[in-house]
Amino acid sequence: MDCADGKTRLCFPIWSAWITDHAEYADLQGIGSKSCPKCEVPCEELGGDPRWMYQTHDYMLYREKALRHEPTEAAGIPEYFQRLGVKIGNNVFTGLDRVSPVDLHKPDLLHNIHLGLFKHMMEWVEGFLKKHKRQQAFDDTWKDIPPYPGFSVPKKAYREITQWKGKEMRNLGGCISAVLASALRNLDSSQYQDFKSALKCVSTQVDFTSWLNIVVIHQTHFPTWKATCRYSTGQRTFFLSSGPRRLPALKQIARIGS
Amino acid sequence: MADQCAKEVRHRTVANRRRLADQERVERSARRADLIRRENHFNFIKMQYLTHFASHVRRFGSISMYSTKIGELAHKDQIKDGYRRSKKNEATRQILSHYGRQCVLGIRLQTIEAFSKVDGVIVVEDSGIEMPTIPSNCTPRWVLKGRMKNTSTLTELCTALDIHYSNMMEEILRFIRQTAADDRRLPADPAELRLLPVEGFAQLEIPVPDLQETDRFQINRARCTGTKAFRNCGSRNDSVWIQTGGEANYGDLRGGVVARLPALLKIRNILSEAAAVHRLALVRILHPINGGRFHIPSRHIQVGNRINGPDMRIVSIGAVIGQAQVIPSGEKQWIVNHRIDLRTFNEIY
Repeated sequence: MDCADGKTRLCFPIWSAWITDHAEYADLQGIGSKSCPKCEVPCEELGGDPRWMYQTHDYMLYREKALRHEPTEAAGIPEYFQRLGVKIGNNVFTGLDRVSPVDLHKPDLLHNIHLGLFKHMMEWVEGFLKKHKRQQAFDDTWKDIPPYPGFSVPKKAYREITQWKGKEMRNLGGCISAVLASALRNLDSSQYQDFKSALKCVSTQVDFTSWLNIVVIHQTHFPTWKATCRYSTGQRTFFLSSGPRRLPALKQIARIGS
Repeated sequence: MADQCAKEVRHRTVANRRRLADQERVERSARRADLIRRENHFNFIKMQYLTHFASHVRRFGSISMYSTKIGELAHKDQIKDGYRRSKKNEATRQILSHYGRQCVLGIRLQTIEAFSKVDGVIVVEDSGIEMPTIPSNCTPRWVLKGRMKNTSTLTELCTALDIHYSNMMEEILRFIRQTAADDRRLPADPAELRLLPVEGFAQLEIPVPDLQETDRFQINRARCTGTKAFRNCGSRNDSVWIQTGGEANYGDLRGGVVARLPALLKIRNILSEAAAVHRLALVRILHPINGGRFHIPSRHIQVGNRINGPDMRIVSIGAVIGQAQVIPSGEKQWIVNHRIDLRTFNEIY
């Protein structure tokens, strides 16, 4: 390889990262679509309490088990792998020098945060605004957002937008908490607790994303970063109690509540 | 007696009814909570990924460098640019060598830059000649742009921007009294001030140091068009941050205040020998509500128009430290959006 000092040197590349989205990771690592490429979490416990640490996948061990047919606690090798969410025992990366298949997986801000969690959050926010009849206030504030360097001012009302791109979602992350705070102003005593909790949860998720965008995380940032991280994923009582995932539940809640 | 009995029975019935209603409300709430617990979940893969973020940052550093955006741009940088510069015949090797050459040159430039920061001289390889380096990262200046027409005196400027002349004069005089008395100082006599040549501007370029790399600057372009439309979309008088005194002021705002930017002007003091030029900004300070501390339910800082006392102020353009974003929240009140970028988020948290 031609080097910066003008000399040619021998180079031995080591595979250290494969950046792609979840569907491709699932194919590459030979796991099910509801399995994590990094740990052995059962598919019904995804996104559980972050303090529960699951065992990291050991693809080398799986390969040995698959090749030698070692006796396991499960009835057979297929059942053993099925329990772990693994489809094939012989991972395509196993055996490459100095390559750890688990570490090839890299977090992806675009698909995981902007097109993933933000999208879920906004579905929840829409439901919340509808329930409390604040959609119009939100739309009005949305259209009045002033310009800022690096921020594209929305040209349409929020409800008129049909499709969101990654960049637009990142844009939304910068202003959603302030717009929501403005839309939820003038609250009465019965709404106080709900609105306060909604703003707390949305702000926490945005704060978490802001921390992720910092290029150099200094050692002194770690306590706050860790706290924000745990708070965002661990403190879920309000999101859970109002349903970020399934909007039909909100309708049913409204029916029962009325 | 009979009446009293009837009243007692009625009272009991009302109490009973209330108790039943309370009971029903409790049951309904329990049913609601139970439904929520059953129907909602975080059982999806993107939530699981979050649990690995902290350990990944600790082991491999910030995750923004692993964004798929880079991979998508690589189609252009690595392949298309290389193909365009090739002979279009057996292009594969040429594309590869082009990208390699670009990387090598990039690394070489970075090496030179790193050496120049340490020693101040570069030693040219094999020849031993020492070359002094040119400081490449000098601090950019605040620049006024977009000169307005027909604003050659203060009176004309006030008319063009729809600002009361007496207010403007009062603020300029206050600004003059605060500056040191020297050759450069503007005259404190309104009659003399009225004669000085003035230029009005519609844009201020503010250099803002980057959060992570302090030797780099981003340029914020704050607009102030007065009553004129900006690109057919209404007038623009942007919000800016003004540094006022120490960090102890204004609670969580830490000495910074948000202000509107109604006018940008340049005054040349032709009456003195130095003929100094003063670049000034007329700002309308937005009063921090609750002493600039976070409003607990909304988790944001709120600002509003000042009710008592003057809200206009003249400052030197160097006191404008960056652009701010405020979201309208009711009558003459705004919410300071401190999450708009990392720099603001780092300062107000």
